[in-house]
Amino acid sequence: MDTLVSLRHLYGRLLALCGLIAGLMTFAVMCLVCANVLMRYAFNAPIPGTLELTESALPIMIFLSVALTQHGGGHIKVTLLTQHLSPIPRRALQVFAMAAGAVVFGWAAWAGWEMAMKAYSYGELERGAISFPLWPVKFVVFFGLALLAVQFLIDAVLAALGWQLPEMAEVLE
Amino acid sequence: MSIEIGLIGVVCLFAAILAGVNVMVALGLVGAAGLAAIVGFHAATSILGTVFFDTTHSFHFSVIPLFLLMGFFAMRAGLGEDMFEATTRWLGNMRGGLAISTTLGAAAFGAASGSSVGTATVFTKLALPEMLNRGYDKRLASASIAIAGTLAVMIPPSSLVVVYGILTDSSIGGLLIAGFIPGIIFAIVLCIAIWLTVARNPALAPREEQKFTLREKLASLRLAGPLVLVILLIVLGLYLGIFTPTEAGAMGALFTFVLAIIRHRGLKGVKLRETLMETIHTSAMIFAILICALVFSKFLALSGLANAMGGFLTGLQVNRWVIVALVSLIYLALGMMMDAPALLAITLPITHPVMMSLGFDPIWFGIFVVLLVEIGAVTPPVGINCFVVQASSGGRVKLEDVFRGLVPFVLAGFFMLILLCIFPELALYLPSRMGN
Amino acid sequence: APSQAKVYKWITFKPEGAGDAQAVSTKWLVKEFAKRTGGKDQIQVFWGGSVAKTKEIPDALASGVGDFGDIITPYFPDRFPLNNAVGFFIPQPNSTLQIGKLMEKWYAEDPQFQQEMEKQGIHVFGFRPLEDYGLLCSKPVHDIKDMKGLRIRSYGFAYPALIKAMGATPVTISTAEAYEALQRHIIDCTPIGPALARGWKYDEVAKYYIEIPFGASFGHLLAMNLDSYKAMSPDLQKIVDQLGKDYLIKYNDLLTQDEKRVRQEWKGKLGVTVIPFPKKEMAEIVKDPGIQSVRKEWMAKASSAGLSQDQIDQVVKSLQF
Ligand code: NA
Ligand code: NA
Repeated sequence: MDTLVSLRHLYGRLLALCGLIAGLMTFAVMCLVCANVLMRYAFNAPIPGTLELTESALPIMIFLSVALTQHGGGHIKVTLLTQHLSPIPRRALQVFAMAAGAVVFGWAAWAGWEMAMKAYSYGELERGAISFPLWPVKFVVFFGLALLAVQFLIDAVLAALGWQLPEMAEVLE
Repeated sequence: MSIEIGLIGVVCLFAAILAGVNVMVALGLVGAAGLAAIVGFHAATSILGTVFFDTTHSFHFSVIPLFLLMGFFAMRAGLGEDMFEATTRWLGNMRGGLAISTTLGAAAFGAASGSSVGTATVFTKLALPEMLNRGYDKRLASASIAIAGTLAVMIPPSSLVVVYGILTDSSIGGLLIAGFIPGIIFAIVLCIAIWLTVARNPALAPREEQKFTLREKLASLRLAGPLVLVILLIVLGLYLGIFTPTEAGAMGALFTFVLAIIRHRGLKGVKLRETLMETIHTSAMIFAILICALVFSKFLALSGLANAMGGFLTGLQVNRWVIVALVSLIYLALGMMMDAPALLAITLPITHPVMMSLGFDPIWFGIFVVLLVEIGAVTPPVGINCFVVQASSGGRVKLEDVFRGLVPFVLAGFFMLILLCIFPELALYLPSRMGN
Repeated sequence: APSQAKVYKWITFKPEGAGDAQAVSTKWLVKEFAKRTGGKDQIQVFWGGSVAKTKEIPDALASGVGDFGDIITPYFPDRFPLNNAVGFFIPQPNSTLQIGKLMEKWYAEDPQFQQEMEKQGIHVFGFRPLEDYGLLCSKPVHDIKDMKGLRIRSYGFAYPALIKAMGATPVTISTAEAYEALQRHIIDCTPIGPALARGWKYDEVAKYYIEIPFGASFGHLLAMNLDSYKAMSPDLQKIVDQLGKDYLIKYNDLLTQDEKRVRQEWKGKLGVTVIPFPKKEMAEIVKDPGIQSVRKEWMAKASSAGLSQDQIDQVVKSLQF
């Protein structure tokens, strides 16, 4: 179990790096949109492609962060009933919950991979004031979903071994 | 046959959520498995393959992380503490004064934001720590914020009202204006609900001991200044046509960032990295649920369960207010587990013709139904506003606290629905004056 | 053996209550399908994107989430380049009906058009071109000189170059945001037709309609899941294919009526001023290198999609002023 826990820790550092990229992108989008407003009013010269870049940044921001949020136990759940259970059934339900997450996001990641490959095969472009390939964004969506599925898988195994999964409070201060 | 699958799906969703499965996983897994049962595994896979990208690939939705960022910066800039210092000097002697001023603040902020979830997030960051630090009951504090978020959808601008206008071919300009008076009245109704709740149980909201002189009160207005500036920047920016909502979010974030730098005399105290991480955590959580709710609502639509309910309604031969009551019950029931835009998309094609054939005004029904689905945003088990309040609370409240605290406010929502039925002019007065 | 009676699923982005030519003609088609199969087979419509949103529809159709559906072709220029021919050639001189007939002609003469769709699991049986587009503005525009410096809403792959060529500034804005953008003068104009302008209520906030001959753009493909189509009896396939042809006529009639009604309303209580625009100026603008490079991009795509130079020339010729 200790190796798995340290593996989870190592995995968390990868996820933190992805999250940092997502955070910096959020800040960059803020700057871009503001710069566009200022350029529009000060010089009647909006920055071409602001809408297209912002639109494509959002999926990257979201899917580079979903697994990190799960790593810290930050996704919403209802503990109304489970908190009153005795340890064994509670652990069983937790394994079930984590395995369900691995299944649905593994499925979604596989589906996302197929869609990304399809977009790549016909060279899908984002078109507007500026143009750029859209398929890399779709690969990021796949990548993020796959990271999330792996996180659920690790946690399913750890929960089965009786390790206490982190709750949100430990991450968000 | 499919309807049975739909019913089984609904039962499985509730069971999974109660078993402690992450809400997004429950929605996604039941939705996708249900789709596979109805149209096949291959087809369900295709929906999973497109929905995550297509929902997030949107300029319009970028407003959510930007409003989040703005809220976090506003917190770092200490706008929350300052505002509450000011409001306690003015309203602190009143029981529940902070919760009341939060409601009024959210109404004011709602004149800038069209997002119920976004407003709930900002005010969780602004008001929740203040209320808790001053001894407010967790349930009252968190629930008053969750419901106050819905004011942003009533008071224009409101993306949900635009969705209604498009789905039903009603006047968008008229609809947006129609929400103004009901939004303000609902804010007042919520304040009364807080006052009554606290009057019944004074322990929920301690009274500030200090007495302030008029001079101190007036001096406190300067503390509220920066927040007023932020709200003015956004309200005026939107109304004068200087910004689109996404731009207002970015400008608001930049402005509060600058205020935070000024307060901490430099970048160091702003904790930029932590702020960005909090923003992406909450954004990821909101979008993950939003998208999985979409998968589930696609399943619900294809199963024909939503459709069957509408067909039943049109077949009834009773007083039209009985149908209004039934329609309301259906929205409250579906609103328990679905998000607002998906709920409108599925139900309006059924309920709107029914309501029109009964002689109701399309604009009135628009405001009525938006209030209904917004009540759904705070009811368990899928109450997106409550999730957001809990997620933004930094672990200081539990989801159960928020849901339990909401009882008086959901009752206030029912009261507002009845007001709208008795006085339809609340919604119809301003649109009828348009262009005169 | 007679095939079993079936209820087919039609998935659409269109809201049922929309009441416009697109929604009304879809309802007509559904009724007509039941009538022509003697009530044996039926279509059930899933309206308003409740099952698949605009960008999800091709994949949802191809994988069998629905049997029928309408694909907004201009959203997929890279995926369906051939079927997007018209979109790369804005402005062009053909009307709505003419564009529909042109698509039918290309489908009949150039098998590559249907192959492009079938390769992705989709069978096309009908066409829904959009109405003739002009420019809806919040200030009067009389000729190309008035265009200078205007902010015009742009989207897709042909309008940015066209708007630049007219001396105006393209501003990318989504359909849903255009109402507010017009109201708040973030944009001065948007390309649109009368019926759609009424549908989105843009004419509440922009009161000048400039008759710039952008032409009718394409539009939506009426399509089926390929396997669902193949599983149909030959008789039923014939009914579907004929229904596609009749649909175009019915839809065009409805659209014409709508446009007449809207123009009447514009003269009356809505108070929208219609301003003519010199046609010659548009024929000149098309020579702009930016516009030409968009057209060349299509020719290259068509060539790699297997169209011969001769076939390409035929298509290009019918889209020129
Ligand atoms: Na609002
Ligand atoms: Na709910």
